[in-house]
Amino acid sequence: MGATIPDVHGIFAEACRLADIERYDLSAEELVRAIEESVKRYAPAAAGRELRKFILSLRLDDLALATACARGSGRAWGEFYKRYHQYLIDTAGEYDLADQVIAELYGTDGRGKIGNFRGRSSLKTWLHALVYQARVERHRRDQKLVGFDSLPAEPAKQEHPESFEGRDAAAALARVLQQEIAKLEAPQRLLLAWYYNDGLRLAQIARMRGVHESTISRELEGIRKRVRKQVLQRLEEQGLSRARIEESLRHLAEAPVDLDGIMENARNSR
Amino acid sequence: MARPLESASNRLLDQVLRKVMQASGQPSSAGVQTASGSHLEPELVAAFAEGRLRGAQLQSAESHLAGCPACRQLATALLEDLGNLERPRRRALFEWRRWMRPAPVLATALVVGSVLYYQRGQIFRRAVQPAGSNAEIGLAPAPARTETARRITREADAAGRRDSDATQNGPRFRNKNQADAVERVNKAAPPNTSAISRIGASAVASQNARAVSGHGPPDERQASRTVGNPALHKQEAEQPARALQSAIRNEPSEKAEENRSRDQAVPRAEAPPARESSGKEQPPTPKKTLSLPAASPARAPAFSAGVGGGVAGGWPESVAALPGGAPLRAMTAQDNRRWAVSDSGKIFRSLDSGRTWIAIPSPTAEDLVSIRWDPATNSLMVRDKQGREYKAQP
Repeated sequence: MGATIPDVHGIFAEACRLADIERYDLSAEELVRAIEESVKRYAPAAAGRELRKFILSLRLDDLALATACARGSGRAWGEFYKRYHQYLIDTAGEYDLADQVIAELYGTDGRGKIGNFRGRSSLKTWLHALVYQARVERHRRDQKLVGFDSLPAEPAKQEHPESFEGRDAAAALARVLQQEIAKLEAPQRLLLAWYYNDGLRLAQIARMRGVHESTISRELEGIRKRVRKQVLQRLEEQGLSRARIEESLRHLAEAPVDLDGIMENARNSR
Repeated sequence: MARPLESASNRLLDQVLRKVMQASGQPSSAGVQTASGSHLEPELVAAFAEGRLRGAQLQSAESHLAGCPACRQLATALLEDLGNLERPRRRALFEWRRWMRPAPVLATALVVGSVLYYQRGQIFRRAVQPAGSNAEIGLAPAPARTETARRITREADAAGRRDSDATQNGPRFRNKNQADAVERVNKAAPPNTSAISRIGASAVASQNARAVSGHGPPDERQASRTVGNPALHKQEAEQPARALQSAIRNEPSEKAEENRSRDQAVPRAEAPPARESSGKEQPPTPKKTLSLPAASPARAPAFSAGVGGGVAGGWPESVAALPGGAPLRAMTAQDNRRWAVSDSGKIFRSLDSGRTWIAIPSPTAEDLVSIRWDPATNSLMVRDKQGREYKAQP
């Protein structure tokens, strides 16, 4: 088949069978080429059983359909339209956005976005992501046209006169906190981001992680405990007393401190 | 347990963490760029939302998502639309549905449980219902296929096979004394008379003699102790002295004749000349066993009632006392199985011709005075003092 990656235990033949390529008038070589692209992009170091496992984890049927569509097969586009046109409209919530996404998929020069699909996820979810991106892009585009009058007023960032004394300590606390958060593992940071930044509830995060809500609660508590311990230790090393740290904590929590400035300074100082 | 100060501190830390996270998670001036300067491919975000990422790719994606609000929003939106997230506005409805989810299963279980409970009640009622009622409505005897019942059936089958062998190859005895004893009994009784008749006759003689000699219970009590045909037992109980006198005089009583005519399964025999009754006091019955000396054939019918057919030869000359010292009120036999009734509704069964007894379930707690084998329904019919008849599982 002219493949540049090894055919582990006839994996390509099996992939062609799973993808049902005859349905879209797709040749085996074309599908193998698409699989190779996917391997190069997402699992370049895979070999042997790992490679076979990765290939079998691809959505081969969707990959075959997308590849056939990218090749310009009318039969494949018919199937695509039948399967996903209404779904795109429903996801976009309007015809214009759905038509825009379909136009981007098809491409005016025959090289549309559909050719970018590599079978790593399902075609349906990928299309959903495209619709979301298109909506965000349109929102940004429209936002730029909004007049200054309609912009929300900046919240006043005035510090209380009493809080000037604790400003430095609060800044130190914020910097240390940010550094300790950066030391956390990726899943823990993502958990904090979901909980504190996006405001998701524990139950929502638990569903995304596929665990029980109490597990997330315990994990979150563990992170807090660890961060608190590390922050206290580092601030005490800097010469701050426990009482001063507590005071800084209260100051940072209650007073309107310019945290953005502190964060920017911290980023610049790294 | 967290101290108040520590708890307050934790709450402050929570607020500070929120502030710091929101400040550090703010998009930069470009609005979409992260520190790495690029976003995840939509396909990777989609794969993450579908849970298809593993290992290093998952870690990389999570690391990016933690610092990239745009990609995280995309991932969260995908997760929400894929149904992996609850929608807050649907919370109440969702909870209602969650509570209602097991309702069909519970309803089915309730219905099945009710049906089973009803059927169980029916079976129980059949077991304790007087036989007359069952016969009227044409109910079959309630099956009792418990493990105990199956074990008993197996034992009975095995015993039946042993008896069959004994019938074909002649009786087997454990020792010479036993064989001699049986031979004596066989000689004493006519050849066609059921062995159980002979045993029963001796038992009747023994108990009657005790009653006559004044060692037995009072008359009323003694009447109930008379072993006999359950169908005629009530009348016998009313006229104990008459039956007793008749038996002592070796005169075949009317009841005995009637009893014999009813017992179709037992080969009928001409009553041989009765042995001379000595009229002397019989020795008291041994405590542990019921002594069964060579019986007077004239009294046999009083005990043979209900016997569905005996096996020629092989009967022991005595039956063991009932467990717990329970008084034997009546006994019947089928093949080499014996059933005996006693007070307080006790029913005992022996699978070895009366050598050992075990208690079996009884449909009543009343004092039982007679028992018979009903070949039509293959079940036991027991009767209490008041004349009520019950069907019992053999």
